[in-house]
Amino acid sequence: MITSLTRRSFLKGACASVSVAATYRMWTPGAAFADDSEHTLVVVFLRGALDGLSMVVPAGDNDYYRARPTLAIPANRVLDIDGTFGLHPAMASIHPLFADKRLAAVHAAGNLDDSRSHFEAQANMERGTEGANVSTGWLARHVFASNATAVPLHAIAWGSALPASLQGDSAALSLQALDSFGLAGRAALRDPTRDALASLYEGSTFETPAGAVLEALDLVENVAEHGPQPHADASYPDTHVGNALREIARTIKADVGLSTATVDVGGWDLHAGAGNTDTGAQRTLLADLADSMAAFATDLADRPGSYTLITMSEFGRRTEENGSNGTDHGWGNVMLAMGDNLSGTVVGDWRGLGGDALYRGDVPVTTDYRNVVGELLLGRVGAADLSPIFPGLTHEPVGVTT
Amino acid sequence: MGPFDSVLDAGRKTAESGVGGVRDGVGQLQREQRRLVDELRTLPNTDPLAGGIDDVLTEPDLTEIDRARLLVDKCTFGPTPGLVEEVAAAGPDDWLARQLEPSTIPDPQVDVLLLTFPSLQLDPALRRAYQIAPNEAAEDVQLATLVRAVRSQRQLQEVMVQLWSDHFNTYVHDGLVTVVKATADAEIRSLALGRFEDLLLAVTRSPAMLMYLDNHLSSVPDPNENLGRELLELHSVGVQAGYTEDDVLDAARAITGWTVNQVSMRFEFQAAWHYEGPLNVLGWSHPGASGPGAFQQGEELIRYLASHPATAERVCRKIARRFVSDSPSPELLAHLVAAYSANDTSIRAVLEALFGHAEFWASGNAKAKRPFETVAGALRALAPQFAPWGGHFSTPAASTIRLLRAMGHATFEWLAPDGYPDDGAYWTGAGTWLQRWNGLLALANNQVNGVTINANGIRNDVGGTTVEEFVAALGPHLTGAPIEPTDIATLVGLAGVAATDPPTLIPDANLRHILALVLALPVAQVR
Repeated sequence: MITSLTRRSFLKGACASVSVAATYRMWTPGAAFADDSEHTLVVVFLRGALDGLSMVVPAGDNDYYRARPTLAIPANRVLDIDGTFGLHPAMASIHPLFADKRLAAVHAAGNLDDSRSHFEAQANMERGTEGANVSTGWLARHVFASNATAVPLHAIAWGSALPASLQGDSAALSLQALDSFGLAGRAALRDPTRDALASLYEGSTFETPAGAVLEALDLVENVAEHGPQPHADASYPDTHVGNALREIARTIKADVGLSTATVDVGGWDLHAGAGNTDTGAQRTLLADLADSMAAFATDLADRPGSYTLITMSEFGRRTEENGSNGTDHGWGNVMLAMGDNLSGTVVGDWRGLGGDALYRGDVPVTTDYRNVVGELLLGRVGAADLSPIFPGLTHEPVGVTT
Repeated sequence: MGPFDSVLDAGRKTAESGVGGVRDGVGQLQREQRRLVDELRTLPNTDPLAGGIDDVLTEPDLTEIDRARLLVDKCTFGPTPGLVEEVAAAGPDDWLARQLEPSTIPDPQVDVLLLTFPSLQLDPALRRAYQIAPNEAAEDVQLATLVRAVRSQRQLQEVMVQLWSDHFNTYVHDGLVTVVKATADAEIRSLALGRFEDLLLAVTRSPAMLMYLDNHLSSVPDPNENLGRELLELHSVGVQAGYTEDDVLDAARAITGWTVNQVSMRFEFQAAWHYEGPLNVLGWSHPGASGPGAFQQGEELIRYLASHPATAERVCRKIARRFVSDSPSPELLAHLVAAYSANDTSIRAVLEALFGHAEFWASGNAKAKRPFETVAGALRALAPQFAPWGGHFSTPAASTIRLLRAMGHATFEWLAPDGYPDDGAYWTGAGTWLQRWNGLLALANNQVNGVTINANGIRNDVGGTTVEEFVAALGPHLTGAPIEPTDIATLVGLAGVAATDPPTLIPDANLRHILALVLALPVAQVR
């Protein structure tokens, strides 16, 4: 087990490294060296706690309108999903995906940590071990369990560092743009500089991660330069999440063995001035997320079954709004899943927003987020067994894939 | 020059383990999970430096130069050429004693450099009234931090300012926080080695924190819980203290009415917004208060929280993590907590206790540098010329911020209130290395606007009759430590000329790549 987690070193043995590097240099579109049936898991983490009640709105529930006198989305403005729930109108771009069965939502989902602390809840959710403090994240354990680590671009995190969910995979790459992923300095000295760095880091405490990034250089540059471009109909917003999903789609289409990708999207902690239907920070965030997801779905429409995208957030927000046109920390929340052949519905154990149904004023967590992820991992992503990924979980499917 | 002439003339001026109980009904499931999870703990730790200083009970036998090197590594942003030798000559203990009294250390270089940062000289009301471009005000305070890290003689103070700026993080681009950030930064600097109690109070009532965490809008009957919660969770006792949601609500109530005057941009207490009922927070209680004096209620709570044992533990752990390692021993923590509690929350007393402990002196290279430290360290080592850097002259300012931003560590740009992680595992993932190397390559190649490295000057200063001698001498000159022979050979291979040639033959481009790679050595990424 332990040895399987230790990445083969690029730096030990020049012969191996040369041949690997040569393989990646030879990469061309259509001459993929990874199986094009690879299924990529994309996790979009909405940091700061999304207000799920504004995203997938319980528009048939009078208690919602009582609790949210200024923030509620009017029933006649939501985009109906099933008569009970409707989507925020800023998310019109993904609304048709429900009918296409390419989108599903789970309400009242979340993690069992009810500390209402962003940092405790995020850490708990990213470790995936419910309270136990281990140093690896669930996505890293998924990567290991699927033996995806053999290629340099098997796991990427969009940003400057890895999220906790990927901690433990010391060869997972954080990056911010395919196009600028290369060594700086004088171009003529690039190759000798790369080789010198490989020597200097050999045998050091940082050998594995430094070796992994050096190994990935040629491949990423090659994909950036010659790889597939977005589909003409896929109009990604020029934003953090838009750019991230565009580049993840390019990497998926390059068939380089991308198993897992993550994107963090911040800004959801709207204690004040959240806005509602037509204005405010929340509307902007929701529109950006939806438009980016819609472009991603369009981009990959001709590669059915190539991906599963999940959105999650550390907890939801208080049912009652506060006095500054915002909401404080709550608990149960909405998760979205996007891909082919999903339920196209809102699932989960929804108990309404009446006083008895709430837990300390919040939507209770009635679905463990790991059961949502677990169902997708087993049913679509190709995981054989959840026990290494979510130890101790007694898996109960939620119905998101049916 | 613009409208700032007269002003210029006027002068200068990380939570540990998960929340235990997820309450009733799931306890048994959790115990079973814990058992399974214990098996997972046998997986390799992702922090490559973890466990580096196990079981050190006695102070290692260090020479004066070793002690000096350790102090420079731990208590500054890295060696400037000759600094290690200077500290050794002055006597490491004496040098440290002076660093603990920053107000007695003259800092003329910084005073002059910061004159080129116009917005720093202004009162926040003027900053707002004159509508100083938000980018300009943000860049000024961001870059002033880097200038101080690189050029200040009060290095220990700057290290502590960075620690507190993370502990009390406010996001510099969050609306009007931009125009008051410099004020909060100055306050943190003045209290960085003082009493934590004073620091906690000053930060909680600072307009930057009040606006960042929405407390300036918090009023009865529906208080905004944002700052009240983080006051407990992040700024003082921490989640493990076991406070309840009722405690959070009462903490928020205690500071209702703590707001910001939107003209003066200073703290203001709005008694009419204040909650008048009784309050209970973690053993502190108050019968309730109204009128202008009700401000005292919040102040009393903050002073109580500062002295709470859980706060002592958290503050001391943060300090130990910064100076020693990611996993300081329980013995060291107890030693620091005792100093904190016995000295009325004195930060200086905690530092003195730390510097008197064997574990500190045994912790050389046990901590991964964060990208800011790598960049500041490179700038200290390469001793560049600085162009005027303030936001008013904003092109160089923006370039330097961009460099740090690409490395994920631009000053005051962490969005969430917990501040940048101080954690080796976070900063040493695969992608971070490319960012780090590229930052160093860009600096050494003069590709960062406003920073000019005189590579030839360094070549002349370092000397050596051959390329090999020159490269070997670069280690002590730039990093304060010798370079391993195999690494010397690797670096010589980049010179483009023979190892036995005189160093003057190394082409400029090759020389700059060698400088970058000496600073990129793995041993230069730890402290």
